Amino acid sequence: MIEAHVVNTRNKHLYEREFEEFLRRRHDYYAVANRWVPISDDGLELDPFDTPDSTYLLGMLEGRVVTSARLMPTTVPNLVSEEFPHMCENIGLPRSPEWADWTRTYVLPEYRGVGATGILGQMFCAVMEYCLDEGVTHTGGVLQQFLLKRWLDLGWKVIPAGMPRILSGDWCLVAYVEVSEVALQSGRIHAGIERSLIVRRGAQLPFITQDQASRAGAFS
Amino acid sequence: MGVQDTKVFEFIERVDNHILIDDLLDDLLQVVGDYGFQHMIYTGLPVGNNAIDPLVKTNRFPQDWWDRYVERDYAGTDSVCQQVYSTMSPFAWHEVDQRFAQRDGAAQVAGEAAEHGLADGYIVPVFSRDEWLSAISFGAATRLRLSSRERGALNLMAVYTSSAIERRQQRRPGRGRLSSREREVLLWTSAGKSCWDVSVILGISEKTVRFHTAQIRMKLNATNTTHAVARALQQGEITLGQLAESLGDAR
Repeated sequence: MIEAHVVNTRNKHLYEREFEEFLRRRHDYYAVANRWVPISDDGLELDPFDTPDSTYLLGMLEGRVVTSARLMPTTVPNLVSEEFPHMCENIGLPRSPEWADWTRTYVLPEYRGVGATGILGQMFCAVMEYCLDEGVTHTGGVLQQFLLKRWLDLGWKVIPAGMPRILSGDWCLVAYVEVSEVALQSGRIHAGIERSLIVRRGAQLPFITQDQASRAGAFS
Repeated sequence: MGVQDTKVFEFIERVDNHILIDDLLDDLLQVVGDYGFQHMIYTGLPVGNNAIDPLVKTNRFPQDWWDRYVERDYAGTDSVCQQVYSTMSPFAWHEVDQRFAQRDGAAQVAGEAAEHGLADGYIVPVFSRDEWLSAISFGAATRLRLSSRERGALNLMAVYTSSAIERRQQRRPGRGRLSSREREVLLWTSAGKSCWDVSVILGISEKTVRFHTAQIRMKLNATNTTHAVARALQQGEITLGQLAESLGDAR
């Protein structure tokens, strides 16, 4: 079972080695092996949304980061708002401190397995647990169509923001999960998890800050 | 956003409201009717030479066609079915890759399907909740020209519907995990033992064995022993190792 460590600007120094190793492994996979993103000089895979507004969940197993998730408020520029706003024709582009943009869910290839009880199912439940703790009501973003089914299979209520479209050869869509205690419980049952997966070390930062709340607008 | 899109998103909102799977399928067929489809099936795909029938979750294909498909074991020759083993990308039936369409018997299956009112279709491969390669396939009486947007809509409906069906089938009242005694009974019957044989082996009455087999079928939503074994394997109630062992004992 993974431990999902909450990492943000306040406690990032505690996770320097883990964080860098993980960015490097992502780069090996996405840039070098698959050419989905440009190769970078430092061998780390970062994008314009790796900012102080981002919170990372690093899924650790046996001392290694094997999976991850990145969450940021939809009130700051995020992948959906900057690159895929046209994919939200059903509900409009979310812009609310309680709606979290969720990206970068990745599992190291050697830890990928089938089954809801796998690492991915654990990461999904960790994200749900974190969002519930932080008062986030919805979380989601751009995802591949097959992952939508995984969310639904956990018994989660998922709002499609728009129709699926082909992005780089894969059917993808923008969708958001409703965060709730019921969703956490049904997800845990299906993924075979009996306890909390979230670990917090060092100084913490609330996901919803006064600053973000004041910047909030209605859905545009 | 067009009227057709609105109908799709409204359908997605209703998916979890239907208590009966049949009502959900009626609703789905109503919506996909606008795209030219009259039929649908949601099924697991068989491994090796196994039959497809026990893997069907819901079926709204024409009955006479499906009976023929199962009887003649067309899953092994059907090019649409075969292509799903090599790609998870949805496709229209008429777009099936030549390397599958040109295999022996494939053209005949497609021709017979057309005679039964399934001239074309659109198939969406998915992994079932228990990670079994599966697909939702929509059937149409005429050849279709689907836009990218229509395909996206069909994909979305297929994913929501397939997950809803599986979650409902899981929740069916009276269903649950097999007891260890039921598992024993299933393994012995799968090895060809009669109810009387099993009663002697386990030292229980024949009536009790019959009661257990009825419980097993209900819990697994199976119509016969073969079906029950397939579902038990699929749901992880029994393992291939256990099955091999029981077959070995029976030899």
